[in-house]
Amino acid sequence: MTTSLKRAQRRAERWRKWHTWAGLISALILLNLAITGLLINHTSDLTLDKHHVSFEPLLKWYGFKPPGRAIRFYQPNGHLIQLDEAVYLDELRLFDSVEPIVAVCPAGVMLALITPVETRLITPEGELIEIIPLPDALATKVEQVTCATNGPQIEAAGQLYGSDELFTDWRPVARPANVLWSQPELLSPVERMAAYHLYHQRSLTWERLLLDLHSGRLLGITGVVMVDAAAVLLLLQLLSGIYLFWRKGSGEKSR
Amino acid sequence: MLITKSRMFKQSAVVALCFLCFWVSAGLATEYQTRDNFLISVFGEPLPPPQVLWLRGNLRTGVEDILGHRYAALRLRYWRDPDPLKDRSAWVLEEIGKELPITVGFVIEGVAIKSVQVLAYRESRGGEVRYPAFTRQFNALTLTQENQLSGPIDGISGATLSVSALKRLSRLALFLHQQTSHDH
Repeated sequence: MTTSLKRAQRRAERWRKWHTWAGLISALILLNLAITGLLINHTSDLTLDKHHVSFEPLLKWYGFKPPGRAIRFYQPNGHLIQLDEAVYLDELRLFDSVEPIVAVCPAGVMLALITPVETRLITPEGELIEIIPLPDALATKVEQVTCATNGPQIEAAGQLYGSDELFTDWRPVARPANVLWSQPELLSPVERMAAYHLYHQRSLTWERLLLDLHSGRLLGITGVVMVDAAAVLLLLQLLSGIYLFWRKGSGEKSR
Repeated sequence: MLITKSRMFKQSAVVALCFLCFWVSAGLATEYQTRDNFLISVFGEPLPPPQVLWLRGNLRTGVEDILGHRYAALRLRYWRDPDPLKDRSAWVLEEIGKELPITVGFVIEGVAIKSVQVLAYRESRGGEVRYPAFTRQFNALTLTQENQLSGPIDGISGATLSVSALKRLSRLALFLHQQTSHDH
């Protein structure tokens, strides 16, 4: 065996090793691309855009922040919680309210949620009955709210107002000697952790997660570079495969 | 040549500004008229006291049939002309066009729509449904036995969902007026 032939065999061996390792590494990333790509292709059929990921470490990895406003009102039917704009009755998300809830008062069989601009009436089970804007004289001027026997009473500019049954007409009422103002309760640190899970249970869809896995963005720029590297690796593997094939072919011919 | 370039630059700037204004205005939620002002324009002052209608039982089913889904609230508020000879009522209803609710005021007289007014439009596209040229098409329309509008409504390209929402709400307003007229 000549020296040049030995050298050529060594080179071919190196290429083969390189080709095998590059194949193994890129196969892992290709596997991820294939599985996630397949699922993404059938997002609608699998309703992946409507199902949510609730794995807390992953939510934190995405950087979802805990809600800024986290308040609670005690009710016989459960806790009424407001986490930023999201309003819950226990764990049931009722609706969104940009305005902070100032008070929750029983009004007959209904519950009246008072915000600085409106009254929201809900059933004890949390179904929305009606949203009634506060009159101009009270809107954005709500200072405090007390829950009287016949419904909420609002203090604005030092005057207490009570409403009619339909919450349309708010008129000044006499201030009782001892007024117990409605106060929301702030959540404790432990409860805020539980609220974080509740608040973000609909923040991350499976579709978003799969897209980020597919593109590598789940790992940030590192992931994108990894997927890019895998693509380059595949390309090189293709070229080295052609080279090895060509070498093999030319070797057989020369023999 | 310099003058031409300068003019071209100015014209481009004006066009860019116009586009910017268009996109900014298109992206903002707009309240065209408050509910109270709408009601004052219908009944004058003082306003008749509001009345409420609970969506329960058959009424709720009827509303669901028209909208294709449940109405967002369990109770609706409406205003009826104090003159019993005028079978006239006003309704302020909401329905989602694409993503956000459109608030529309309806005046129903007898069995027909008297006027339609878009009070608030929150979507970024399709706000053309507020123009009187479009809303006038609803005037004098009635409800057929199948709870459909008695006449056609010409659509607006690019505002298909908003047009559909207004058509559904028109049918709903006529239906609710029918239901409450029986009570009076």
